[in-house]
Amino acid sequence: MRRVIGRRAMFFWVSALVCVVMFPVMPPEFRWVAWVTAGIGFFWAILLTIEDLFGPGAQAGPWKHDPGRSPS
Amino acid sequence: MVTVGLVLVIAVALGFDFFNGFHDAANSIATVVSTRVLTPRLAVVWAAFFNFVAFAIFGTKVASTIAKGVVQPEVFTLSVVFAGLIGAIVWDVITWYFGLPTSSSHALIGGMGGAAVAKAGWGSLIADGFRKIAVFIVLSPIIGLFLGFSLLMIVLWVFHRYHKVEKLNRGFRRMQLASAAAFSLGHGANDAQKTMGVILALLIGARVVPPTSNVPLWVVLSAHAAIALGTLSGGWRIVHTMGSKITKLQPVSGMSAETAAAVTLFFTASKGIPVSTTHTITGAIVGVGTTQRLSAVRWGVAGKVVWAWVLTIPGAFAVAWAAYLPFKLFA
Repeated sequence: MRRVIGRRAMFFWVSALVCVVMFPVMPPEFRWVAWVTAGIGFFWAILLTIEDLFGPGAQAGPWKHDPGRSPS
Repeated sequence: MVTVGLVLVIAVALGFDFFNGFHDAANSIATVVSTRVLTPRLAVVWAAFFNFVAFAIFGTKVASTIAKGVVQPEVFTLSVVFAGLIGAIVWDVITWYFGLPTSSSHALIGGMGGAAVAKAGWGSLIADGFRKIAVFIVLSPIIGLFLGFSLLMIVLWVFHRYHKVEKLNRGFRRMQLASAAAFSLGHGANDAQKTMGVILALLIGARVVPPTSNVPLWVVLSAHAAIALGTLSGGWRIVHTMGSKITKLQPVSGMSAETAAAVTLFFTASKGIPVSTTHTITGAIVGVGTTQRLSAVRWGVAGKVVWAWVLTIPGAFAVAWAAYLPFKLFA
């Protein structure tokens, strides 16, 4: 069964990326806040991704078709 | 010079602060009520007390930002501030009626901006000030989200081998009292200071105090008292949305959400950044909800909240702009 990144991990990736996107418009004295926040987000995004891809409870995503399985 | 008009507008500003307590401060108690740590009546007393004593702990940097960092100080006149407050109050009443936890803080900023633009055009706005506020509109809920998620994950990891669940829950219920108190401190520090900033701007504009003045003590005490009284007056309608409709909360997750939000508010208050306590606690509650799974968060409700956020500054801006027009016509 193909394993895919779950919605929760994707949510964390997107939220962390939003912090990175904010960096250019942040006032210079607060840019470190965007970096630290993004860092925390990426940390959890990576762990959740690893859990989805390699963890014991990982499942194929509903939007992904696994060519090895016959349709139910 | 102190005039009747000045006193009336200060009274309206304190009235806005009261509405802020009525509208926003329910955030402090939503989690303790939904997890049944406190009854609603005790919870509002608890939150109101810590709203008030926040004045003794935090400085007035947020007030200074509001008074001098968002709109050119010379634009602040009685009529501008009055129209700005009307814009914010009307917006707050509308969203209160529909049970949407929007930001009174951003309503105030939008209202001040709208009235200032109506009087003196777009040049009256301080771009850097709005930029700082705008980026933290986006960042503060994300910070609350990541901190809430992180805190709960750490707690669950630390206690995952502990089998006496009832004893653990009792412990977290007690800790939730502390976290609710911390959040109310942060709320009082952040939101009461915005009204202080408006009153300071009024006093500077009326030449009652010099432009370099700090916030007078009577302004500090009256603003904190107003928000505490507003909290005491309730906000149950919004409590229900925040506490139970976004995600189901247990004492451990309620404690984690409030602590995460409190940390965010303490940081922003110390740096003079006006943020929304509503945004921050909502982000933190979503964060603890996603520790279960993404579908644990009721995204329909969270979506309505996001729409309310997007509309708040423009909505309050428009109402305040319209509220200022009679002053302009009859000036």
